Amino acid sequence: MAFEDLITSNDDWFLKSGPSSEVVVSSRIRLARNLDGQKFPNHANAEEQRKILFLVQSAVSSIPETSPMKFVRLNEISSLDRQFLTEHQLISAEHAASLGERAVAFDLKEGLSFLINEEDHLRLQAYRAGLDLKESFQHLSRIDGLLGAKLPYAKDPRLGYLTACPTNLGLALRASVMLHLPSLVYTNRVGQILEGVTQVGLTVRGLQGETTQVASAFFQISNQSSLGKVSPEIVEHVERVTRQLVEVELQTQKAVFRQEGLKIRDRICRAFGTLKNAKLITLQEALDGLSALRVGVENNILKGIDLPNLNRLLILIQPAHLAKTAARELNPEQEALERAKVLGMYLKNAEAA
Amino acid sequence: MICQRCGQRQATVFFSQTVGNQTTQAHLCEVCAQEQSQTYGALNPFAALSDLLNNFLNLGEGAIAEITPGRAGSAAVDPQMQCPHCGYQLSTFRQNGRLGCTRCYESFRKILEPLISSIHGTVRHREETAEPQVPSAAEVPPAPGEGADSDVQGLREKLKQAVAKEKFEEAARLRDEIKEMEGK
Repeated sequence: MAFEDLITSNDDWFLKSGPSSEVVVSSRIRLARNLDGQKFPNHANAEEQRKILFLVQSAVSSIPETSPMKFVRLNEISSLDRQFLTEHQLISAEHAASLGERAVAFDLKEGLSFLINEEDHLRLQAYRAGLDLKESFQHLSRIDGLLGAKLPYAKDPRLGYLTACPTNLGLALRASVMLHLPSLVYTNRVGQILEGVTQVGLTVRGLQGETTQVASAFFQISNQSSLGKVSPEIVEHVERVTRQLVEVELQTQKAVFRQEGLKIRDRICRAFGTLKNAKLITLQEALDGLSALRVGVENNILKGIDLPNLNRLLILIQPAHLAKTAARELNPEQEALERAKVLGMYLKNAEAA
Repeated sequence: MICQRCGQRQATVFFSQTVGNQTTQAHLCEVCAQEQSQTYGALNPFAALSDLLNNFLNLGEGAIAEITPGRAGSAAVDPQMQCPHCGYQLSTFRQNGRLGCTRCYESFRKILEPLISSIHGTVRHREETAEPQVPSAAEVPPAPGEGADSDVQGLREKLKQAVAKEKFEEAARLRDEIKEMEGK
């Protein structure tokens, strides 16, 4: 299939805006499921993996709600395409890097992606723009219920859903949100506040998920455990902490503008000038710049560009997306050039107020 | 999981410190973490409890026997032990933290239960229809007269409440106050 179509698609979930979109980039619910008595993918041989793949794929394609899903076998596409899917948040980096009979079924409009034979036999993911974990959970729960009627899920009365890694036992539910906290970073409070978040049982990560590296002012928070809890509790807990973080960020932003308005405007306009006019730009510089631009858009300092398109740029400036757009492999300088071109194109009609 | 220092309160902080070539790691409650931080320096907000498994695995061969104190035969766990259903070896689990099949949980039950308990703080799945649990002691407000904020003990009490109520900014502020008072 032509993944290039995804670059220009206009009905992707992340092009919508949701509750608290000014701070919460996206919400994601993930459920891990395995088939009873079967080897987990990393221990299974190719034939056993194929059998799981077949069973899961048949179940997924028979679900009415997910009928228009695209189905991709990862061993049939190039490593560039796998990286592309990772950047689009459809598969994990681990899924992209693993060999064997692995696949993904996705529906970008609905924000659904089902990873088959990743660490677990099936990982169901539902994304929503903004802070919308509850909706997202209900949506995925419905699908999970339909799939559970067709697939013999491995479940233990004491341990809940059985997963390849014991950290995911219980409901095997991970509720996460991607946050943009520029003012907390600017005022050096973010470390302290996120430390507090870990104290209430949540995990903090950087932009790309599993690593702890922090990219610009983007952070991911999620529940750590789902054993011994019920789902509304977990979802509500993550939502409540997120709402508090949104409030703290917005209050801090107001205070920063009150005290250092001119300086902040200057930073935003400089970042805008750089992103719009640079000829070569690294990923890190682009991410930092996009962070500043978000603040500019929220505070009406920048016109002619909106948050959904800034969300889109967060993905389009990644290496595999640039290579797919250019339709060739890129060396680092060519990549920096292509990144600058994409940014220049999207910011062509934007201006500083 | 329970704090490895006081053995009483819920552990909420993961501690890791390297001095020379020796790394010290522990899972601590808020109160013990405050005290340790005097010695060990600042906490890393990105070291989450979910790192526990990795740390557990890094502890090496002795770890499994260590976390099963008082269990008959726990010291005699055979690392060559296999899951009869899928042939997965316990030693592989120690290397990568992943199990071989869904039945491995039954095959390695005795070894896994203490680990699961320390990761999740429980080994009891709750069905979705279950009644909500009664609030734990940490969430119950203190009796009047308790917790005057003039002393460190009072601040700790407030800190505990702030953590329980997820007022993390307040918690961080209180933690700094405690640090400062103890530093004097």
